[in-house]
Amino acid sequence: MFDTKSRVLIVDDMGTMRKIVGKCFKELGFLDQVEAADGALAWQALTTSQPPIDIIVSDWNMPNCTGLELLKRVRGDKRYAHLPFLLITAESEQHQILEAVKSGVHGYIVKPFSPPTLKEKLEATYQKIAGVKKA
Amino acid sequence: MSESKPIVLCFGVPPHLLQMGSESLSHAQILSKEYSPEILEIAHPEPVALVLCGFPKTNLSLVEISQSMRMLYPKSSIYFLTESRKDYHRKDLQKNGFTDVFFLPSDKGLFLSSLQTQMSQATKGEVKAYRTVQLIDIVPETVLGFDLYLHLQANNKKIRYVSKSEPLSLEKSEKLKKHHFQSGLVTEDQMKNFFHFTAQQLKKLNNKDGLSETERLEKKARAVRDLLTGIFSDSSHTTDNLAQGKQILNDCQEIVKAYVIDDKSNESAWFAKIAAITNNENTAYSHASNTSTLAAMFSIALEVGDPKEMALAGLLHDIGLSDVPAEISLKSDAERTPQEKEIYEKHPLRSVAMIKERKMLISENVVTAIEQHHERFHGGGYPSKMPGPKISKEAQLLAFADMVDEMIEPKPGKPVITVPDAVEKICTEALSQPASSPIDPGLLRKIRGLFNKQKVNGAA
Repeated sequence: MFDTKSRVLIVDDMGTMRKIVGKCFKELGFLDQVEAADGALAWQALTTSQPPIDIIVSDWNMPNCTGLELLKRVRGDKRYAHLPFLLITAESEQHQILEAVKSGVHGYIVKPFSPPTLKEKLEATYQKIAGVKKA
Repeated sequence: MSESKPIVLCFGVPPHLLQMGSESLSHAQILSKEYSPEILEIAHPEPVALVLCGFPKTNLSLVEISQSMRMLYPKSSIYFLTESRKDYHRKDLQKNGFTDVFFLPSDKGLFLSSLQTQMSQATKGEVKAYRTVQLIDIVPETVLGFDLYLHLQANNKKIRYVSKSEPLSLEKSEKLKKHHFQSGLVTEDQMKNFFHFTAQQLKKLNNKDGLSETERLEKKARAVRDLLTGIFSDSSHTTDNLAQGKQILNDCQEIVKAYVIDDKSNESAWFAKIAAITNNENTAYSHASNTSTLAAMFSIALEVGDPKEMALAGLLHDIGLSDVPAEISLKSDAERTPQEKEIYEKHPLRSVAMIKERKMLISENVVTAIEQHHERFHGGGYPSKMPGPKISKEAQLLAFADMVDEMIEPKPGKPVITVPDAVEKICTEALSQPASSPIDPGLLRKIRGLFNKQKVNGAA
């Protein structure tokens, strides 16, 4: 369903969470990973990465540039607008999801999550993208 | 056989807090570590029964810790233990992954019973976990279906009083009354049988929607804990203090309405409500809860102050103690150094300051009662050594309720004492030397008169 050779951009201001999320991706076979500590650094990574980023997984609540701001910026740039984008939220931030959906997020994951949940969400995201392409 | 013991991981937990739970933790294999980025990234390879987290000394945030721990140990209970109100937002931390957050020493009783439950589950019942049940819910001469235990304070032992296949005989029931037992214990795994038993009894009484006294007290304890931990939370992150104050006040009034003064709280019901009070949970919340009920019921019976205001004062009178370090608040008055006494004796002022900081719009009567609840009629109280006539009537009533609840507090080796006995004891001692009475002797005589009248009427 998804290509594990894809390069994943993991965005979270908490180093430990980046490591844990990275580990979950590794368990699913995604070995090519790039990390960023906030939305601004993520944008920098996105625009300079070689090979290019294939999928973005970002935390919601971050200083400087939040996950939602990053999402809007990505969706507003035609070079990256098509990229799969998953937002990670804490249970306490769930009420904001509607805004993220309106801004074009493909899916969201509520912390804490395990590799099987991540796999499920990734599959749903790729299915959604495939569906849009067919239509 | 340490291999077979359940594993409890402890991160950054100070030894004195672990010591607090030593009885339950003695059944576990404790792996204690300081915080480091690695422990938040790699899970312990073996199954973990429980994770205990202390306040981090590193620059790791609590949110980071709670979320990471939950991701690493998705099926384990994870408790956060803190002695500081700084960054203490119980509900937020629970949403981020901690199973529960214990603010110590206020939460000591709850922490210990939660530990006991965890150890009981981890050892498949080998370690027993008990829950307090109210004896008023147990109708004599009906087969129980659960083992009923008693906690003997004199030697701090638990004994099985009635086995599950037997009824509580009238003889045994009378014996409990004679020895002032108002509550018993049921093991956690048999609680569903207890609730089935009480549901059957309520059904017989055609009270299908009613609550057993045990459930009512559990709900009340949860509500008071939610209320007080909400107040303890550092409010500096909240921008809308007025809305927060209104919400807290609203929660207080809900508790008063639901659990302290209901439609039955008239003059004839006050004594029954007072006599039913026990302090078997021995937590900061049960003290707030009991003082609230006592103050409100004394207010109804004596027609002093407004009962609802007195209930509110009882709920909030000691919130300032959350700012007193545990090593001071846990000591007895005699054990405190002069400097420690000075800190401790400011707690009524801290309670008032916390109410004001949170913009709770409370009547001046309540604020004064809280501020003066440790002033004494003989002039030797604190924080102001205020002479008797200057102390408000409400403050004296609150002080009396506070003293009564302190007297019924269970301690190993101390005989069980009921509220009416505590009232009599305080009145006798104070009235034998009126010049050094802590409360206005006139007020004490009135209280004593009320209780004597109950005795004459046969209610006691």
